[in-house]
Amino acid sequence: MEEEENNPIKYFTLLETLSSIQKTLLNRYTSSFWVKAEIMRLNHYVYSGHSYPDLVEKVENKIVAQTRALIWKDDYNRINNKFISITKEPIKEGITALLHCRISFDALYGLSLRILDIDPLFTLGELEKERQETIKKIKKEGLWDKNRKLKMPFLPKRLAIISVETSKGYSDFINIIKKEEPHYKIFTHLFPSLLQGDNAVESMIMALDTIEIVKNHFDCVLIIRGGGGDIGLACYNNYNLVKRIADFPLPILTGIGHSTNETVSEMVSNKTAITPTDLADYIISSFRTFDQTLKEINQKIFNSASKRIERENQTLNHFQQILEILDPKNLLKRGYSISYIDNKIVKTASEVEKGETLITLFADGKIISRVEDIEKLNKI
Amino acid sequence: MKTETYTQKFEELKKIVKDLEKGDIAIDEMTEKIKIALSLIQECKQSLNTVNEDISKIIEEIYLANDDY
Repeated sequence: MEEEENNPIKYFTLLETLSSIQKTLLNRYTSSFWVKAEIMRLNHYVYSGHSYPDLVEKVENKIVAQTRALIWKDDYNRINNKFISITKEPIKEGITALLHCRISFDALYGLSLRILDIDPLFTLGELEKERQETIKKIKKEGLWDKNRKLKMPFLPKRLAIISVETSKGYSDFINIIKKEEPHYKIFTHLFPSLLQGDNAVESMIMALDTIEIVKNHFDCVLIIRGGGGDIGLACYNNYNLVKRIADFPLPILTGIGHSTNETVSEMVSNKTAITPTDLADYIISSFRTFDQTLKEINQKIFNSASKRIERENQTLNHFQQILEILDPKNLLKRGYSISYIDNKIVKTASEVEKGETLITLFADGKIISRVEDIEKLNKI
Repeated sequence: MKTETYTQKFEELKKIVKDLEKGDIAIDEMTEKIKIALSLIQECKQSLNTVNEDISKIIEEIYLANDDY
C-alpha cells in the first residue's frame, strides 16, 4: 500500500486507455467506407443470428492482413437476401467481397470492422471470373471435350446416381424409371452426396471416386438435383469438380434443374438435361427408340420376305403359262396338227422325201399318209 | 417321295421349260415332261405358301411379345 502511495508514476486504467483509443478512432473515422477483403471464415451463429467473419487479404496465398468483423443479425439477413437474389449464392466463406464498413472499437472486444453491407455485383463478378477461369484451365488441359466425346452405350441400363435420397429431383427421376420397369429393366444405384453449397464439391468428388472403383458395373453416371432452386450452384463451376467430371471414364449426365447460366460442370458433361424429369425421359427414350427400330426391322424382314415369295409365285405362274402354250394338246385343240416321220417332228418341207410315211396328230386322233408330192417355196 | 429343296425343284422346272422351248422332244415325252413340270409348279407353290405362313406366324409372335405394355 505504501509503495503504491509513494509511486510517482502516473498511469491510466485499461478501460481509460481503451476508451481513449476508441475516442481517437471514432474521431478519426467518422464515416463508413468500402473495403475489399476475402471472407476467410463466416462464423455465422444460427442461434443468435449474428456473424463474426474473419477477414483477410492474401498476397500470393500468404495472409498479409487479417481482422475480425461483425455483422449484426438484422444486417446479416438483409445483406444475405439481397446477395441471394442477385448472385444466386448466399454469403459464403472463401469469396472476395466488397464490404461497406465502419470501424468499431470496444473496450472488451477490441478492434473490428462492422459490416453494414456487401456489394453483390462485385461478388457476382468474382464468381463469373472463377467460372471463366475454370473454363480456360480445363480447355488448356485438353479436357474440355473429353467426357462429351465418350460414347454413350446404346442402352444405358446400369445407372450410377449422385443425388440426395430425399430430394424431389431424385424421386421424380426414380418414379419415371420405375414406371417403365415391367418393360425395361434399368438398374440404378444411389451414391449419396451434397449437391449444392461449398461442401458439395468435395462430396461429389468423393462420390465420383467411389463410382470409379466400381465403374465396370455401370454404363454412365447421373448427377441429379432438383427442388433446390437456383441457389448454391456456383460449386458446379469449381475447377476441381469440373476437372473430375471432364476426365471421368464414364459418360456423365446432369439434371441439376435451374434456369440461370449453364454451369461449367454441365458444359463438360456428356449430356445435360434441364430437369431430372427430362433426364429420365432421355434415358427411357433411348429404350423406346431401340424398341421402335426393332419393330421396323421386323416389318422390313416381313416385307422383303413377302416380296420375295410374291416374285417366286409370279415366276411359277409364268412357267405355267409357257407350259400351257407349249403343250401340244392345246395346239392341236386350236386346229393345228403335228406330223412325224420316224417319230421325229417334221419342221420343214425340205426334210421330206416323196413316198415317205407321215403320221399326223390331231386333237381327236391321228392319220397316216404317204407323201405324193413336195412343193417348196422359193425362199422363205 | 424324294425330299427335294425348293431350289432343286425350281432348277428342274427351269430345265424342263428350257428343253420344251427348244422343241425337239418327242410328243409322248413332251406330254410326260409337261405333266412333271406342272406338278413341280404345284409343289413349289405349296412350299411358298408354307414359308409365307411360317414367316407371318414368327412376325406375329414377335409383335405379341413386344406389345405387352
